[in-house]
Amino acid sequence: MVSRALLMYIASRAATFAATIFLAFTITFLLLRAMPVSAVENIIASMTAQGQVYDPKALIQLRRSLYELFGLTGSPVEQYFRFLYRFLTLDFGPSILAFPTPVRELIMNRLPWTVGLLGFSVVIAWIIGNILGTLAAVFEGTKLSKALQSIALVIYPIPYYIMALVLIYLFAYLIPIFPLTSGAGVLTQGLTPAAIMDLIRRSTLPALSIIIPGMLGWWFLSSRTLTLNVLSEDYTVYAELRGLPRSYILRRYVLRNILLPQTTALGLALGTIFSGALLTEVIFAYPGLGQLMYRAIANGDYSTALGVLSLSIIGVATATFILDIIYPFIDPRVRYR
Amino acid sequence: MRKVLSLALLATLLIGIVAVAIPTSAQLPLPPGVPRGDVLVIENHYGTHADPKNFNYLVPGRPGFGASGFSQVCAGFLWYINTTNSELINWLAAAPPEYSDDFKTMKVYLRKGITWSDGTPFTADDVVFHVKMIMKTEGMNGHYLFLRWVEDVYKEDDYTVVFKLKKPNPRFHYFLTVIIYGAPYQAIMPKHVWEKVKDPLKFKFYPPVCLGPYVLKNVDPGGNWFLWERNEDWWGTKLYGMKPAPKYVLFIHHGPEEKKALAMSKHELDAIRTFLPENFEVVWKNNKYIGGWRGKPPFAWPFDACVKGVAFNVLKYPYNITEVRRALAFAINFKVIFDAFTGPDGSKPTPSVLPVVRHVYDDKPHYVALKEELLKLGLDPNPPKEIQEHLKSLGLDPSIVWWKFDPEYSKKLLEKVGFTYKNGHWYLPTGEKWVIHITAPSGFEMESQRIAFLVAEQWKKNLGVDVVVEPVESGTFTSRQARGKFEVGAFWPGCSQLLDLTPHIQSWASKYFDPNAPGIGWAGYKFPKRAELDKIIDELESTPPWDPKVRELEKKALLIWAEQLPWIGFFPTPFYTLHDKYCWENWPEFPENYYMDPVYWWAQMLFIILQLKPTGRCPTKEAVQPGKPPVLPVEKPTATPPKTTPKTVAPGATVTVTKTVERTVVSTVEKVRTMFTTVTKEVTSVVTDWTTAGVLGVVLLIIGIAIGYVIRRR
Repeated sequence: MVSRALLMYIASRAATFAATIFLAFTITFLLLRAMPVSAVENIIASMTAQGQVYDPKALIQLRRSLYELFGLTGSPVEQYFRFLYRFLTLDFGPSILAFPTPVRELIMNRLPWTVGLLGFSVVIAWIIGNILGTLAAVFEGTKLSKALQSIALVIYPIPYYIMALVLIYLFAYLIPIFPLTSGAGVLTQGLTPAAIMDLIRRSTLPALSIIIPGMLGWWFLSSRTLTLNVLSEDYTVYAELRGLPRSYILRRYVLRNILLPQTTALGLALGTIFSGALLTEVIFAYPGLGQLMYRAIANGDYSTALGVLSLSIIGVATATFILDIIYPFIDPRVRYR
Repeated sequence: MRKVLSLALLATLLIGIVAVAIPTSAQLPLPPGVPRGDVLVIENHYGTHADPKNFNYLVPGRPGFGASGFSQVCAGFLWYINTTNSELINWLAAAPPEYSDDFKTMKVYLRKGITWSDGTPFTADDVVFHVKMIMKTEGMNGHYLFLRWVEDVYKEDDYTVVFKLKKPNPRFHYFLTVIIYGAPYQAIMPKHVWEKVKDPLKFKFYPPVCLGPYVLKNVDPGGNWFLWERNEDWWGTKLYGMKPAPKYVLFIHHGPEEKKALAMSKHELDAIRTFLPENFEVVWKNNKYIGGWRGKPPFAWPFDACVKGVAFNVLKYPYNITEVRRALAFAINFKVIFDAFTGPDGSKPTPSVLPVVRHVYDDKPHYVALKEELLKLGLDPNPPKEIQEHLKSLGLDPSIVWWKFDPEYSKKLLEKVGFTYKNGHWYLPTGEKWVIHITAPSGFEMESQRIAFLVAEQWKKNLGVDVVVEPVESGTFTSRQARGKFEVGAFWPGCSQLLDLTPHIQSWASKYFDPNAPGIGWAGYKFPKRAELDKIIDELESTPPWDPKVRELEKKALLIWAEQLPWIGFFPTPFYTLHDKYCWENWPEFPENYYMDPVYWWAQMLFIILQLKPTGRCPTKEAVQPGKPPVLPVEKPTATPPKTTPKTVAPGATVTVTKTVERTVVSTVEKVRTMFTTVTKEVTSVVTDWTTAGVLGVVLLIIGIAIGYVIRRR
């Protein structure tokens, strides 16, 4: 039997979830509209650059027909409601950048790439980073622990761009075991085992570039610090004094306590994967959502930008909502009130 | 605890094993078994394509025309311009265009025997359909252009197309000629494919049907690469013996420039649009097979299509004051800018004080012809020796470099129009502090960004004026320029690749000014000689390019420009358009093998691909030696050669051909020297045949009469 308190709790969180999404959408819409970029003017400028000299009357006509073609006519209020409808139906209309391809199709083409890369990399980095961080804290003072700490402190401040280029230089140029280009190889025979292996191989460097700094950076350092804090808590000291086995203390006292903030961070990290990893995608020429969003924003393609940003909004809001719901299960101290 | 530790180690090990154990071959995305030597690898300079399976470039704003390879290896164009000499290349068109005397009709002759990649014959129907489809489809690329000029287009026969123009235009064929890069509406579309399409703007044209020597083999679903396969049934091979050597052409995006430099260093990229000097250096040090505009250092191409510099918004105060613009020009030490663009290999830019790219063929009629006037306007009479030497090495007049560096004169000019300098700052005549805001590109066109910062530094240092540089992303940059929302911008309004400047400068006329998108405002700028400039453009537009009057009119227009200086151009920034001679050779190189400019991202790249040869250093299976060079004969229809004796037909045939020659010459760009020579030679030889026959006949007649006379007398 579901308690009334639980229902009230879920209802209030659901309301917050809906309000967050609505607000985020409105802010995104306003920000996109405030951008000093006009896709139509850019298109006309590119046509002029190709040697097309127009008389002003023709330009007015051209401008009008392009606005109509891309569905950009109407007052800002009309456009807001049009885009709100598109957002609610998750049909963002045709993209301007890749007209007439629907934004939904562009997103669906990129989504597996992004989710595949970021989902895998974030989870792996989280698991290994947390395990290593916890172990480094538990075995504080040992040579291995010191070595891991030193590596983490060196890796953490390295700019991502440099780290990725170092990986490329080492493993695609100096010791060329990975290809320079990411994405797909030639899939002439469809998704054969060889093609899948090729795909994995082409995605390994981008994945490593996310896993290494994540694993040995934030996840390692935060879990180590959290573990050290928990280890110095009175209840842990008391448990040791009681003579409880060390593995039991680690499992029941330490891990469970550091899991709460780390799971929250993981949930949010997974929520943000829908906006892609722009730097990774640019450096590795990886066909994810980040590049799509960047190009859309840079070129004033409102429909595509709004499509990708909506996905990100929904992703983060949903992750937060789910975390809110499952919190009490992870931490009994949290109650439905 | 040990278990946990073991698990962690195991996971780490697994990742390592997976990473290392995977095979290391096939770094490039090639079909299984295809050796590197069968593939020409060219940079896809656009980057990751959002929808790589859309080849309908007639959709406005659709990017990637020259990045996917479509314009270079698949599309079919009537004519091209060879930018090394401004010559017209007849491609699908069998001859140069033929205009009526009033320039209201243009006739296009097509080559016979051309077929689309699916085997369908290419005929006048395709050209007529293509133009009519664009005219019918509002918003389509080229729609308003054709609508403005074309009254009607129809076929006279299967290989002759007639354009009836709304008003006279002796340059209408430029719209159908690849001059710089190539425009999507210039690539003829197949009627048999598009006539079945309901909404041409929503059609993806995938896979594309080609007229070029390659067909699409595969596309990266992620949008990074396009693989084209040689069409063994290509019309060029069957009709003219041309055959490209590479079995495949791969257009690929490797990522940022640093990665492209690594790719070229390890022979995984054969041609690239450009490198920044620092990345060029990486390639230069690691790949001894590279070449550029020259085969040896200095490599950079000095004639990119546009003269880079900074443009003023001449509709915005105080840049609407001529003295202000001139003052700012004289406050720049050109040598500093020149040195900043001198590359590590000694590549130097070509100083271009006028908004005309300074090719050898442009120097005399445009630069030297205006030298005296330019000196009066402030051309540096004693330019640096080093720059003079450089100009000499290119065959250009060394005494014409740039405006003099005279900050004192700049200050006087500013004070003359009411500016004041106090407490280390300049103040506008209105009393406000003068701060110059320069809009610069960010993340692209980095050469122009560099120019913006260099100019800012010069103005700060030499004039003491406050300057702020604002680098912005491409979309914002273009929008600001188009909408005129800037003060000064690192734009490049002066582009040219033709000796005939009309298409490059006609937009200066006030009739083309669009208040909604004023750009730098030059067309809408009111100044005392505005009416004169408009009249010059009107005259230029109605004067055929081969008329000597054109040069005079161009000079007048350029002089007015130089008096007003609506923008300051320095030079086309040296372009490190590199190629790798490890797998492929016979790239165009100045001066020994200068058959084309290194325009790998332009449609003219086709002519390079058709001449490349495998070096033998890379393993091949299906690469071949190239066929005949892509020099196609003029095949304009002439009167059918007589089947009877020459005596009866010869005079008429001779007259017809002679008229044709006159018309051909009349309807061609003035500087189309080779074409002219080709036509003249061809026709001359025909005329000579008939003349010989005629002369022989006359001689035989005279001999006959003489013999008869002798016999009769005896």
